[in-house]
Amino acid sequence: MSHDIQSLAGVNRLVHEPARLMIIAILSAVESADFLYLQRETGLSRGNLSAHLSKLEEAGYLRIVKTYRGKIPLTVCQLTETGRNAFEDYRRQIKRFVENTFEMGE
Amino acid sequence: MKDNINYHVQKTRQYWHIDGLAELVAGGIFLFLGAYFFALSALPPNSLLNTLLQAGFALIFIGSLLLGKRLVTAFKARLTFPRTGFVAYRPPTNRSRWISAGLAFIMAALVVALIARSPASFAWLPAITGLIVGGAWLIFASRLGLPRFFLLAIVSLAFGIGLSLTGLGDILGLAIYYALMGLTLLLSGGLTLRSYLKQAPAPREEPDES
Repeated sequence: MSHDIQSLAGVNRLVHEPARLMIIAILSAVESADFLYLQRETGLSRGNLSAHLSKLEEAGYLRIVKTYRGKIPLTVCQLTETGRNAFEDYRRQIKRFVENTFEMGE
Repeated sequence: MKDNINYHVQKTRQYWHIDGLAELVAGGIFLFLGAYFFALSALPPNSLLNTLLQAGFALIFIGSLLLGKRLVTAFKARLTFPRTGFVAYRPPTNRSRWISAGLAFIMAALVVALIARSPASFAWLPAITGLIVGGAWLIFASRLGLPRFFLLAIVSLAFGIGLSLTGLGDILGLAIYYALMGLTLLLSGGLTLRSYLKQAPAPREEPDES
């Protein structure tokens, strides 16, 4: 069991942060989503969302494409394959930890 | 945490149906198909127009689906994406395409076998159509977790069985089934759209990020 608890220390902190986890979870369900959709769904401010998106982009988890819809700028975000794998690894790790914790409590 | 992740994933999957536009367009297609079957039932069975209409059913059906998809996207680009944002969904995988094609083939084969074995089962075409359409709504409902789709599945089955029991005949029964389902979809889509527009007012003109 101690090994399972210790494994939690090795969890991907870039994904584990709640705001970024929301962003990644949303993007994992789709091909791409724009800034407005992510802002409305996460409830983050523009600046805060921009900062989190930049961190994910720097890590190679996210691809950001800036384009236009008519005259309005449009920022479209897409999870990369690395990002999808990181999210799946994270889910597996957390699931394993939660399952083992419940087993111990029973 | 797990529930929180699933909540966001599920909500994003439901987003395509948040505005009811897909149901409104589907309702239009169903009404069009209703008009098609009304025309078939009104025309003399051996007339040229009747034969042409029957032969062109596949073309009309596939054409309506393709046009419907374009219409939904065009409406969303004007109405939904500026209000609550743009989402593009992942294209279906080859595996899911094969599964869908296989299910459609099995369904078509079952209907053909039933009618070939018992010509009287023509009278049950509205019920069979109601079952197939209802099954499709049921799959959508369980995948997306949208309760109104469960209701549409039940309504489709009820209309289909009800019309078969009335003994109106296959073509007129189908015409009324499609017309009733079209009106139901328009009602469901209209109510959903009204609720969406109340919750998401028109945006001010401004860039989408800082």
